[in-house]
Amino acid sequence: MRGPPILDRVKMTLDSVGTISILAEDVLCGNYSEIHKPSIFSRALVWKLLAMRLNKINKQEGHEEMELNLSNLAKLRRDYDILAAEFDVPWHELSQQSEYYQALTAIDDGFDISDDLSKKQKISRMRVIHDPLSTRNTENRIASQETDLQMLEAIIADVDRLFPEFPRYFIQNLRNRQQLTKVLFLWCKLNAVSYFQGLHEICGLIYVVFYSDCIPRSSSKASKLHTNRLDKQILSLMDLQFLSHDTFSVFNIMMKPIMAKYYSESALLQETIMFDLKLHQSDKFLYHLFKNKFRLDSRIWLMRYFRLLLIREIGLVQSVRLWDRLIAFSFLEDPFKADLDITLLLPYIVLIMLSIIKKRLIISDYGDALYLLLHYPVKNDACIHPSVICKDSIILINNDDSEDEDDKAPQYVTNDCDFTYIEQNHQRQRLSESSRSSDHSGSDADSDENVQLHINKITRDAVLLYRMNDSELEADGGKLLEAYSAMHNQEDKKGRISTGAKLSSSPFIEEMLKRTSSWSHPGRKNVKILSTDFERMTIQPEEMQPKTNNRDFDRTRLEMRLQKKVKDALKK
Amino acid sequence: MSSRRKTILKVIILGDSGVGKTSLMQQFINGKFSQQYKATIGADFLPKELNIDDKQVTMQIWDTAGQERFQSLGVAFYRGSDCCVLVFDVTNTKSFENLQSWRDEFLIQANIKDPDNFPFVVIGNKIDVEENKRMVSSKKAQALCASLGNIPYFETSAKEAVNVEQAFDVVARCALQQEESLEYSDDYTDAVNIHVDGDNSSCGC
Repeated sequence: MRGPPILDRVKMTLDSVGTISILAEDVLCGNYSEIHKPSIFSRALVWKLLAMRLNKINKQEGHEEMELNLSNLAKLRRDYDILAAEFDVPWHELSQQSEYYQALTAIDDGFDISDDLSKKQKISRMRVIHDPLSTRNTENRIASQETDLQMLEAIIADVDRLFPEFPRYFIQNLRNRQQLTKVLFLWCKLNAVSYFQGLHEICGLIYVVFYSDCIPRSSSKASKLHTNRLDKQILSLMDLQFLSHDTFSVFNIMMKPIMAKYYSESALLQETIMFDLKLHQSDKFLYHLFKNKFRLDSRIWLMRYFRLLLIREIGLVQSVRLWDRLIAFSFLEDPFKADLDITLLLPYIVLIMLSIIKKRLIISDYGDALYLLLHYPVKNDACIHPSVICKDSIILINNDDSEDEDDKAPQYVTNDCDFTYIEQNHQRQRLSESSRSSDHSGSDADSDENVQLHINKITRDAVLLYRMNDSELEADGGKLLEAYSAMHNQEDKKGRISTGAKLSSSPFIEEMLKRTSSWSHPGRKNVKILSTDFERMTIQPEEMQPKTNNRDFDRTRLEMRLQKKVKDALKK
Repeated sequence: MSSRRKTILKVIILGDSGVGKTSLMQQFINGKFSQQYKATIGADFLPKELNIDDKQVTMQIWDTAGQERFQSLGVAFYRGSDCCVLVFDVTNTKSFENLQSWRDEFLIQANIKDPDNFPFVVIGNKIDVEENKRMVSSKKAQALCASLGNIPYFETSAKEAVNVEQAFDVVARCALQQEESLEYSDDYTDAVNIHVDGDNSSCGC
């Protein structure tokens, strides 16, 4: 990031906040961000302080100067060194053609490989098949047979293709790939689990954030000027030498809840059921659409949303900004806990994301909907930041259409820039386009139809949803989400749910819309156990029930067209 | 019968991590190749409209994570498949050796009524590499496919778009045949003809 060097940024930041908790609050509400404080913002500082619970000691508390309490940092770094000495990464067992291959005697400062003879003995001792007491062996036949070498190869295979949209971090940087591989390998060994795909992306994200704000040893040596204690502490906190140490520590602190909730199938099922319940409370229409029209097992798409904490869905640039808030929120929820559960807001953010694309979902069939969910139509990073990456900078720079400006508007944003209404045939057009010829540059090309997520606002609303109990979620939560979808659900006395555009200026049009979307099929009552007649819920009954006869088919099409016209008119 | 109804063919791609499942799918659907595709998490899903012998069909391709051995979730992913594509990397012996376990796992999870006649297609990918890097010979692969019940076998390069179109054409035809055999009769168990030639109608009714 252009602007003052990291050392000065950190100092100015520490000067400007009273306590770490205040810093966390500023991060959560967006007051301390690359947009509001571009000249002093340091993401790595926030993540390190909050995740590793590093404290700030102010002058007035008996200290002459402000300083940091880095004892936990020192301990965590020592732990990593011990771990690295205990578990050798079997680089030497790799094929000699591999760019990762290192002979046993190789000395490389960065990797703590020592040529000490006693180390060699340790290696032979460590090379065993996984712990037979591990619970995973009955669950996962293949993984239980995995050797250290296979695990290393699996990690390398994924690290080699990490973040292709930002090749300079890993794809073009062997040293970073080696370091990240080592961190992941050691983490798996420490926790006695086999490597899971996805861990590399979470760990890689942390690595990138720390890498972007680190201070090389050489530069700190050159500047002998830094004699005061705080300067030295900051140089140590951001030291490049400890990049893998700190990545490991923060990854380890964050991963425990993520592993426990999402990386086993039974836990994922449980989290999915809880999510489905929340969806049912906050938007019955969408719930019934998913469950009864699409008959979609939410795990199919939630698996990636949850396991990667939306990295794939919203992209790297937006992810780090979201993580700022997730980390700050989790810290504030329990400042004294050792783990940092950054998943607390996740289900609520996903609820909001669904509401944003609700207009598209309700006109989809199973295939369209699943495609949409697995390719969430977000404006990609390149669209948001045309030229983000400059040398020694972090991946995010000023957002030209600063979201924080929008945030000042007190009411929920319901204008068209939050989402774009998609025409009924959009999906089909897109499909035929992409299959027609090879010159089509893929589905990501149609960026006009992609939504821009306003991280600050979404997080704030997710916090509101998080604080609601079940009945509040149903009433207030539903309303909050309607602001995102601009659609209003209605439930009549018979328990039928319909949805329609939220606002309209003319009662005539409103009536028209209501009739269109809540039109009921006389022949299909009492079919399902549930008290809703699902055909009424959807705008395209012919796609939902193949048995619909011709007359109804046409009538619906007619109403669809009418509704579209009305909506277009309303937009103008 | 049901000519107005949209025919949807569900095709699932399985194989070890890094053999090129995503690349194959991208090459087939978008006609492009990228050196780096991100590791697939869970599964991805891409539809493609196809015309098979004047019949309009939508092929829904499920690209799965190579590392994942789905347990309860496998049912959700595999159920209703019309064809299963097993992919290995010709430079990776292990990925070849694992084909059979992928096949077995699929048959169990997908709850296939008539496993002997369910259509599989095997693809050996990455044939663009130099000859000395190749670890699995065509002969060996063909022998395995023959032993597994005459599974059609293709050697492809997703990178250089070699044989991808041809392989997926057979996949589509196998899937269509499977779908139609299920549509006409639930317990219809005619052998799926793997040597697809034109409008081979295997339906006996």
